[in-house]
This record gives sequence, structure tokens and C-alpha cells, in this order.
Amino acid sequence: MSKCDEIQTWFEQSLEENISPTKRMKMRFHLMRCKCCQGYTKDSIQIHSTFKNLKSRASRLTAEERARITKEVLK
Amino acid sequence: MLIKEKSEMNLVKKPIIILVLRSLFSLYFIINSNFVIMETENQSKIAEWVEQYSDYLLGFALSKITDRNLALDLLQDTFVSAMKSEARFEGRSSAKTWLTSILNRKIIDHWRQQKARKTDAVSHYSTSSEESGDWILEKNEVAVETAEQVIIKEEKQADLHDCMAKLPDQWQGIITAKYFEDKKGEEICNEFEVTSSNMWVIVHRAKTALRDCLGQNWFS
Repeated sequence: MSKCDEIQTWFEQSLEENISPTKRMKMRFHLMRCKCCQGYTKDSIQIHSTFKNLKSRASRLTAEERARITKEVLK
Repeated sequence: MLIKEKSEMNLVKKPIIILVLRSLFSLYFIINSNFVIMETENQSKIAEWVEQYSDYLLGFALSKITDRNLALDLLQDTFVSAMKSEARFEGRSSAKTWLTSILNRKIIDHWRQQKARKTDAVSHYSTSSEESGDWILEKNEVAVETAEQVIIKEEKQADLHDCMAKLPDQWQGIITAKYFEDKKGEEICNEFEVTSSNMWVIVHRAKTALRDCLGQNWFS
């Protein structure tokens, strides 16, 4: 695994859970000077927020909605 | 003599006519009852599909369009279309796949309508002193911008959905469990038999693959 891959994996982990202070420090220093990883983090956050957005809208039908659809379809 | 023959003929004909009429009636009832049975079977099958697949189909619609009410309307239309064309369903694919393709077509039609509306112009009759008596044609800028933003957002979500479908099964499963089912890391690791560090590597690789699939325009 290259240094960038490792840093990007740590970054993914840091979005969801705490990572060790050493890892966090190393990650920050690397991100300060690596344009490639900066681009990745920016894109990753956008994908992450789109996932969250998709998830918030993916819900089940209520019993009323289901009954209404069944009634309309069988009318 | 002739009269006697005629009355004998009539006596023979009558039962035949009754027999023919009876068979016609019974044939009509058989056909009719068959249609009723078929229709009832069809209705119960569609009701079963509504019960089984509506949650999945709603999720599918919501991954492509933002408005929940609209998604419900399209879902309803999908089942109505399925009801109408159920006879054409040959069963070569699963009912779920068939219904999804109908819904997908309805979503595409909706997008087309949205795009067409985006270019709509508003015309009104001017009553101001400078342009009195002229028909003014102007673009509804605010409406256009909003519709455009919505379309872009919907298309982006649809792109992400499509790219996700291209990921290897394990990666897809981990991403779904993590971001859509809110499962905890430990649970995911047990389910997919991977270590915690492996799971993060997979998340990273999946996101890199998604990034490549989506292309630079998606992020701008």
C-alpha cells in the first residue's frame, strides 16, 4: 500500500470513528503537502454526503401509503 | 298429411334449439367465469407485488428523484401499468426486475418532462405605459434555476447509484451496510468476514472506484 493509499484509508476511518493521535498527526502533515490526497478527501466528503442524502430519503412506505396504492391500482 | 309432417318436424326442432341455446348459455358462463377468475388472480398477484416490492421500488425511485410524493405517484403508475400489461409479462426475468424497468422508464419520462419544462417561457400581455399592448415573452429565471438544480442533483444521485451497481459484490455489500443500513463496524466485519483494517481498505478502494466511475464533472 502506497503512502497516499494508507493516508486515504485513515481519512475514511477518521470520518466515522476516532483514530489514534499519531495517525491523525501523520495524516494532517501529509494532507498539507499532498495535492492528490487533498483532492481525494474533497471528493470523498462529497460522495459521503450524497450517501447520507440518499439514505435519509430511502425509507419504507407507511401502511396508509401502501393501502392507498393497492386501492388505486385495483380500482 | 302435409300439416302433420310440419308439426312432427317442429316437435323434432324444438328440443334441438333448446339444446343449442343451453350450450351457448353454458359456454358464455364458462368463458365469463374464467375471465372473472383470471381477473381475480391478476388482482391478487398485483396486490402481492405491492406488498412485496413497493419498499424496494420506493427506495429505487428515491435514489433518482428527490420528491417523495412524486416517487409515490410514479410507484402507483408503475403498478397500474403492470396491472394493464401483466399478460405480456413472460416471466423471463423476475417480477422485481420487470417492475423496476417499468419504474425506471417512468422516471426517465419524468426527467424528459422536467427538461422540457425548464425551457418553457412565460408570456404575458403587457399593460405598462411603455410597452402597452405588447405580448411580452420572458423566461421564468427563478423557476428555471430551481428545476435545473433539482435535475442536476437527481442526476448526480442516479449516477452514484449506477456506479455503485458496478462495484464488486463484497464492496457493494460493505458500502450498503455502512452507509445505508447503519451497521456498526464490528457487525460488518463479522458479516463479510474481514478485519477492521481490511474493511477500511475496502471502503477506500470502493470510494476510489466510485470516484473514477463518476468522473471529474460529477464533482465540479
